Parts: sequence; structure tokens; C-alpha cells
Amino acid sequence: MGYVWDFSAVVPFFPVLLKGLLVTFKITFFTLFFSTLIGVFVGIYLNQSKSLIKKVIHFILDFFKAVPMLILILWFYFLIPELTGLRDLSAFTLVVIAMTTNVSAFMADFIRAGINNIPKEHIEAGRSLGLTKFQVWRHIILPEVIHNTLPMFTAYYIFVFIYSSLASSVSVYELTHAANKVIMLNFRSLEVYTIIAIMYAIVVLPFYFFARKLEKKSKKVII
Amino acid sequence: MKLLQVEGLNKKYDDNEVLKNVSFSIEKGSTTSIIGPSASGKSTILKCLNLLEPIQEGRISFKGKLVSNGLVKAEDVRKKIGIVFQEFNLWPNMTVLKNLILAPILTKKLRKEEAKKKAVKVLKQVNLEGLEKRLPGTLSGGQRQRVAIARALMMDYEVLLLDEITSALDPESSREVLEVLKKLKNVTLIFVTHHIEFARKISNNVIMIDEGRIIEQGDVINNPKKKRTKQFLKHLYEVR
Repeated sequence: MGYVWDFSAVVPFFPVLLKGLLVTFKITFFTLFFSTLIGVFVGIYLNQSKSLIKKVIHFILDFFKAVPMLILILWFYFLIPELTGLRDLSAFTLVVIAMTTNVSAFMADFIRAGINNIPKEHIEAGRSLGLTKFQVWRHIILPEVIHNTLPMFTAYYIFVFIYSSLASSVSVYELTHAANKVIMLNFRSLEVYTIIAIMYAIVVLPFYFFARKLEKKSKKVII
Repeated sequence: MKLLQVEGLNKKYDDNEVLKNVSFSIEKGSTTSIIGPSASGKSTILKCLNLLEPIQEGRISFKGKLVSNGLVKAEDVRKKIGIVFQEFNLWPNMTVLKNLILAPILTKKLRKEEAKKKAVKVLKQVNLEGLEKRLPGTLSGGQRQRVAIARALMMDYEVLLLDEITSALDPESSREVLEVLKKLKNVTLIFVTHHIEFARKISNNVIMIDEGRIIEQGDVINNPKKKRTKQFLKHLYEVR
């Protein structure tokens, strides 16, 4: 217990940590952007189709959900340049691709389940009022799916932000990697990890608050 | 010319025949009640009239024009013939106002401001003024059903189909809903109902249906002719 804390040793490295935080944001943003896009399309497709392709897609999704994120990142880091011959792909890009496979698989499942859970009466009400199939999708099904899945999505978006720290395993200069670099220079691991723990928490906590608020709001809607 | 004409309607769900050779016609401005035991095909008739359910055989004509042959767009028919469901079927994530204005804006191309003004008027008509911003989940059953009726009134339907709209409501709420409907003008009403006293008071025509077939129609409640109708009505009165 005789450890003497010295946060002043971290202060000069704040710009480095902030740069790392910015990369963490970038990984999160690109992963979420592509995952949401793919997730929505695949989720809708899975709901519409009854073909063999649907079973194949389900299997692929389950596979990407089954492999731990860290393994996916390490695996894709070596696999994709080997498969494609694109040896100059950055570690950042490879991490985004690896994370997108896992996250979009979960997103597709959320969307598929969200659509499945909409009572058919809500759709029937739209049709009976003269709305076209497209209008029913655009104005009834999708808003209800978004409304129902938003609390879950918010929680998962936070998860992606937190898991982006795994990118440090392939030397992407995000927050955790930046912290490790700083420790190599000032040998103040306790202080550095304390600071980045607080930095992660400062970003994430408002989102948890937001997610809980959404959940409360959506409870009011249930009939 | 009859407003609605149904001839030889047959409807199947897989192998299960739910409507067998059903024929009837509806006069403009009339109020018709369809009565009969549960699972006799009453609600299916309404869904067929709204073209929500495809039919296997028969013809449905509206204002002399055949609408059941797939050549007329179902969306166009649904702008004239509307339905109110037993379970209200409101959209739970939308406010009362949004529930009311969505369809008129999309299908009748009403401007948002016009639709809002009309919604306020219609809500007053169903005694729900001031509830525009509420979500359906925060309303009572009777209020929700009146919102569902208001949603239909927004469309200025020529024919309004009402599918057991008071079955899920307590007697007080049922009374409120039925009071609202009694005041409606310029709309032809077709009820499916178990509310036999109400059917007697409000209807010009009653259709008795059992096992997918029409048993008889006309002044059925006051003057039943067929044994099955008498038996059904007797049973209803005994229960009451």
C-alpha cells in the first residue's frame, strides 16, 4: 500500500491519449456504420425470404457470433491480406472489417427479431387504411422496429466502443494501445490505466443513462 | 343500385371452408348487423369486404363495379370501405394524433396542417378532445376503441365495417363507443356484433350466419324464422 501516486507523470502524454481516443471513436463509428447498414438489409431479407440462401446466411451469422471478437480481429488481420493479396491494407481497416462481421451478425438478428415481433394486426391496420406495402414498411414496420430495438441497439453500440480496445492487439493506435505506449515511456501503469478507465467511462456513462431512459419510455408504449 | 353486393362468396383457409356461398346486398346509408356464434365466419366476411383476405369464389361489387377480381387496386377500395377491429390495432409507438393523421396524409394526400385540424375535430366527435399527444398504451380500452373509430372517421369512408368493436370492453365503455356510432351520418355501417340489443336498435337489416352459411336475413332479431336463429337468440338471452 506504499505506492505513491503521481498523475503529473501522465499529464505530458495527454495529447497522445486523446489521439488514441479519437482512433477509438473512428473504429466505433465505421464499425457501427457498416454493421447497421448490413444488419438492416440482412435482417429484412431474412424476414422476407424462405429460401435455402436464408439458411446459409443464418449459418454464416451464427458462425461470426460464435467466434470471440479478439480471435476474429487476429484471424482477419492475417487472413484477409492472404486471401485478397491486398498486403497494404491498414490494421485499422482490417479491425473494422473483423468487428463489422461480428457486429452486423448481431444487428441482423436484432432487426429480424424486431420485425418478427410486430403484431400482424399493426400491419393489417395499415393495409386496411389503404397504405401500400411500401408505405406500411416505411411508416409502420420500420419505425416500430427502431422504437422497439433502440434500447438494445444503444447497449450494443456501447459494447462496440468498449470492444474497440481489442484493436490494440494488432497495434492499431487507439486508446488502449496509446496507453500501453505511454506506460513504456513513463512506467506509470497504474496512473495511465486509471486515467484511460475514467476516459472510457466518461464517454460511455451518458449512453447507459440514455439507454435506460429509452427503455423506460418504451415501457409506456406497451399495450 | 345497391352500394355493396356480395354473390356466391366462398372462402377457404387451406382446406378449411369458412364461408360457403354467401350472398347479400347492402343499401346506401343502411346499418346492417351480422350475428352468429363464434367462428361462424362473421369477421372473415368483413375482412373479405375490405379485401384484406383473398376469396376463392364469388363476386364483391361496390357501387356496381366488381372489386374482387384483382383488377381494381385494393388500396383504392380501402379508401372507400374501412374497418375498425375488435382489438383496436392502434400503432402503439405513435401518439393518438399520429395514429389519426398518418393514413389521410399518405393516401388522401391531405396536408399535415389540414389533417391535424381534422383530427382535432374528429376527436371532439368521439369525445376525446385534448388527448392528441397521448400514446395508445396510456388510454383505457374504451378510449382506444374510440381512437380507432376516429382513425376510421378521418378517412370519410362510404362504408364502415365494425368487427366486434365492443367485445373487449366493459359495459360502460361499450355504451360510450356505441353512443358515438349512433350519431354518425352519411356512412353505411356493417357491424359484426354479439351486442344483440344494440343490433336490434340500430340495424335496418340483420344477417344471421352459422358455420360459414347465411341462415337468414332481414328482421332476424325481432322476427326469427329459422330454428337455428331462434336457438342462437334464445341461448344469447339465457346467458344475459
